[in-house]
Amino acid sequence: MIEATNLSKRFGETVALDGLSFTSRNGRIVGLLGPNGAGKTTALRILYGLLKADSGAVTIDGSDVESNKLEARRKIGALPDIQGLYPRLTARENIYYFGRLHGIDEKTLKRRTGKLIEQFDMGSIADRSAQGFSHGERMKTSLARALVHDPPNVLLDEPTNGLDVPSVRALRQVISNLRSDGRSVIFSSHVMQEVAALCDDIVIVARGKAVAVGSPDDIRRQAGCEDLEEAFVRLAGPEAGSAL
Amino acid sequence: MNWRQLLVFVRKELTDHRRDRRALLSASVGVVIGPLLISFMLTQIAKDQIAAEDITISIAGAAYAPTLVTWLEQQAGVTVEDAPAEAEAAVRAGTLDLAVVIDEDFQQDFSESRPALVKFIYDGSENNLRAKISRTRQLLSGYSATTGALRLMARGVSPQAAQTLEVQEVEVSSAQQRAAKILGILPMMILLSAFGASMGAAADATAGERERGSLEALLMNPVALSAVVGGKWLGAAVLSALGSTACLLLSALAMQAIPLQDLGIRFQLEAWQLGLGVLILLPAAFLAPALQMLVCSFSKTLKEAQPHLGFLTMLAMAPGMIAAIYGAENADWMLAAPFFSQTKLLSSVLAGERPEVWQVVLSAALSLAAAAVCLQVIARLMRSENLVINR
Repeated sequence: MIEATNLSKRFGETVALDGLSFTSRNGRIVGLLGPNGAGKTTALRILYGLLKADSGAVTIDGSDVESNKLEARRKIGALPDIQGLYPRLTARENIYYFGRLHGIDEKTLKRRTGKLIEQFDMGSIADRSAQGFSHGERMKTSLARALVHDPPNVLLDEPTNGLDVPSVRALRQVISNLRSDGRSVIFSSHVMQEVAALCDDIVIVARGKAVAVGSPDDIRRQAGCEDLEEAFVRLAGPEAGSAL
Repeated sequence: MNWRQLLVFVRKELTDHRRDRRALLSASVGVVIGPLLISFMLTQIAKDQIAAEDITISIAGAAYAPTLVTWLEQQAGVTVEDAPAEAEAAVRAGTLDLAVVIDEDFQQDFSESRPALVKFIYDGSENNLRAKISRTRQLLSGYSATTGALRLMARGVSPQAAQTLEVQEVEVSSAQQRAAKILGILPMMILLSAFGASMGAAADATAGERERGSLEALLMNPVALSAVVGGKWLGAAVLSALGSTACLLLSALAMQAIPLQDLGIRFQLEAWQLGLGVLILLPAAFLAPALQMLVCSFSKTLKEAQPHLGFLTMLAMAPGMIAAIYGAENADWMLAAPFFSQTKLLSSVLAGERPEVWQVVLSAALSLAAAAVCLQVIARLMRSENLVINR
């Protein structure tokens, strides 16, 4: 479970986050939905503990991200917006590397990695160096790398960006499996349909604030219209429409 | 310090560096180039030295001084040939090494006991002719002294009366010290190889991680920054240590293969010299990647890091080069400057001298302390948000 309370963050003159709050519970998927530049990536980076919020707090399964950074990081698995694989390592070695940094013993590591490779259908690329991977292959490898320590909370920053249709469908299946495992999942997107298809809760972010929070039905009710996309545009403001 | 994580980092870095063919190739070029260059230069010098003993003297007007020409021909290794017309122009143009022009009044001046004119034409800026020039000059003054002594004896005067000084040359530098002078640039080459060997690795571990965006993913893990920085550093330092040690051993091998005895030099590297050399070298090999990682931490991409690395290497080598050019005397303060101190200590070890223990310890301690400071600063930089998200 992740609780973000009243997060604010400025970069010089630019206000990236302006009092954003949301909660993600175990066994549920939260979608951070907003146009480009709304502050989604900044919010996620504060959750991983890479950026420090100017004000506000984040707790991950009860551990404060700022005061207990390492403990909080053990409980999350994250897919950042740039996946950053090591091109000279194979997919398997990339996964092993992060697993070892988490202190997983070799036997468990081999077993879990093997399972993830099978689950993500990565058998043919597992022992190839990441140098020539396609976007989808990089995505799968990064995701496996983020899950190798079996984290109770999973954060995905625009995971579907640039993926072809079969990969998006496979990814959706993976995300919903994560929910049935009882994990809390947060993923960000600027595509309404994607969020609507998967999420239990939607947080619409615009200009660093949560402009609407709730289930897809709640959102429709708040916006006063049946069409979710129309609701998103109404709630996020005019610039959200142009970003679509 | 999380030792287990440190090991994970070192292991990963080494795997990564081992597969980076391009970086490995340029590192090995850096290791080989120094020994090759120096053995080439020394072989050339040795060849010139042998060539100097067998000289051909071009003489214009040989007919004016048959006794001088005959005397020259009798000297070991000397061949006399007729100089072409316009001998001076030929030397000037570089088509002729040197020429001796005998004045047409030679015979008359000589028989009347006046100094007879002999013109010796050479180009002193030609380094490779230096030995030939000095041999020819020695031969001419030798003839002058011999014939002069004969004249004095004919007049009933002891030739010693004309000799007011007896100059006894005592060369104090040992053969090995002379060798070290010629080999003076070798320590600098070896230190350069320490820089070259870790350059690619250090850049990849810092600017490269930022460029790929993998630093963000890496730092999201529950990792201690001291282990991140320490592991990356050790990974690069292994390359630097291996590279510079290989360069030292390769140089030793190359020196054995060169006919240094032809230069009047006895250059024998013994095991203790090599061992002590490695011991002196290692702290520099640990400092070089720390400095490289530090300057690369300020760069967002590998390309941006390149010029910084070049400047860094130049800056580190500058004191040694300046000292070599101006021939600075050894002074204790030199031990305080990293890289310079290793250059100095290595030179004296290669020359067969044993430095004091405190000198070796001081040089090592200061270099390692500097490396520790660099690592601290890098760890602090990695706490900066801008660096992590590569803005």
